[in-house]
Amino acid sequence: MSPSALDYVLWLASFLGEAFLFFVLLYRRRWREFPVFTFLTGFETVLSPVEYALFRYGSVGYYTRIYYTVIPIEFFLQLGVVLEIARIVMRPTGTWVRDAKKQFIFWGALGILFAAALPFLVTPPAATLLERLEVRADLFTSLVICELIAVVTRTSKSLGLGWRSHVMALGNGWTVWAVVAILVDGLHSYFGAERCFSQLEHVRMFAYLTVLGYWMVQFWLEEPARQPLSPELRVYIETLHRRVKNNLDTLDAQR
Amino acid sequence: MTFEPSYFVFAVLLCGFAGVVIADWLSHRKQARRDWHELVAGLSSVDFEGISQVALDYLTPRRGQIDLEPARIWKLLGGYEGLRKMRENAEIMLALAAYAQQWNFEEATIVTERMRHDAALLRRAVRRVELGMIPSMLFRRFRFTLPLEAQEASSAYYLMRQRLLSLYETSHVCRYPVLAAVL
Repeated sequence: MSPSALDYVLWLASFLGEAFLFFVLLYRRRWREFPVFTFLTGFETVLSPVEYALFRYGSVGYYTRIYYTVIPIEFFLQLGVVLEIARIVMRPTGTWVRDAKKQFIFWGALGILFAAALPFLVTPPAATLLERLEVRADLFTSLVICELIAVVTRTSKSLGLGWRSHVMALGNGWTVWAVVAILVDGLHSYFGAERCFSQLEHVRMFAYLTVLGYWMVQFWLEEPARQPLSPELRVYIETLHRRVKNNLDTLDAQR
Repeated sequence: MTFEPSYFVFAVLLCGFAGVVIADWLSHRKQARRDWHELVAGLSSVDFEGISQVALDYLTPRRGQIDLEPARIWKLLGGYEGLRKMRENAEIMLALAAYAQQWNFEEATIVTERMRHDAALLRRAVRRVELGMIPSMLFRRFRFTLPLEAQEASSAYYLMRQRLLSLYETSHVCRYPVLAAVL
């Protein structure tokens, strides 16, 4: 199936969006707080023209090899972004809030089991086993990313942890994109790799471009200044966290 | 292509999951955007006299410290409904403590962390009560330890309230009376 003019336009738009977002993250020094997200954006910025050049001027085999090599790298970078959000939100004073890590790991593990089981409920219509596996793997990765960002949200809400504006913007965009991704990949599981493939991918791309635009604006804006924690206060809070952990562990052990 | 039952289950699970994620996120955003007055308006009314009596019996042991019967404790706290309200209020009290960081950063930061500790104890105690209520409902038998767990929850709630009010007393004296009246 050869790409349409709309495919090329969306490809170009996503490259420009990623490049501009990368510029914003560097120029406004957001990379200091979001190093993994900045790296992922830079990675995608470089990848788009390389993939385009390979597609247009290289061999199909070489393009396919690069395409499949990049998928796991992108997945681990996306996982890294979710963990980056978790780190910023759940360690507001530099140490993990009691219960946050435990809740995050428990619900995260449960969600990964759900994400692994769900794609096997249906058999995607596809010509080869590899294509079927690809559809299932795509759905699995989308579910894991979506589920983990939901776990971060729920944990932070239950622990009364506030989100500052940049991390809130990253979370907003990431949630929208992740929900669209699971719905698109879910529909791919039903329709297979042939039917409605391009239309569904266009929906994903439009959602992605909208989120890129939103991030550009949000990361360009400054967030309200926050008073820094003094070293004494940081030490006090770390000690308090340790004491709280010991107290609660002792209480648990006594039961 | 036929629409098999497995596809139906798959679609329900997938849409249900997406729905939960969206609902969670919207509720989180709503909570994050609430201002001080909206937070205070979200506090549920609880019988603080009863809570205070149960909590002080637990926190400051005196002669005759076992006089308070489990059934009485349960009644004073308003049963499970009372515990549920305490848990909901605890979340809002945490947000109110965090809100005070704009007026009195250092003290509010420390108090918020302490309150988070109390909230963890409260949540754990309520969770144990909920787990304990399952056999109570199944076998229609009152479990003796339930009110004792509830007493721990009430003492955590009592401490959270005291910490929050003391924080507002020093940080924002104008808002203190409103908060004290609601809590």
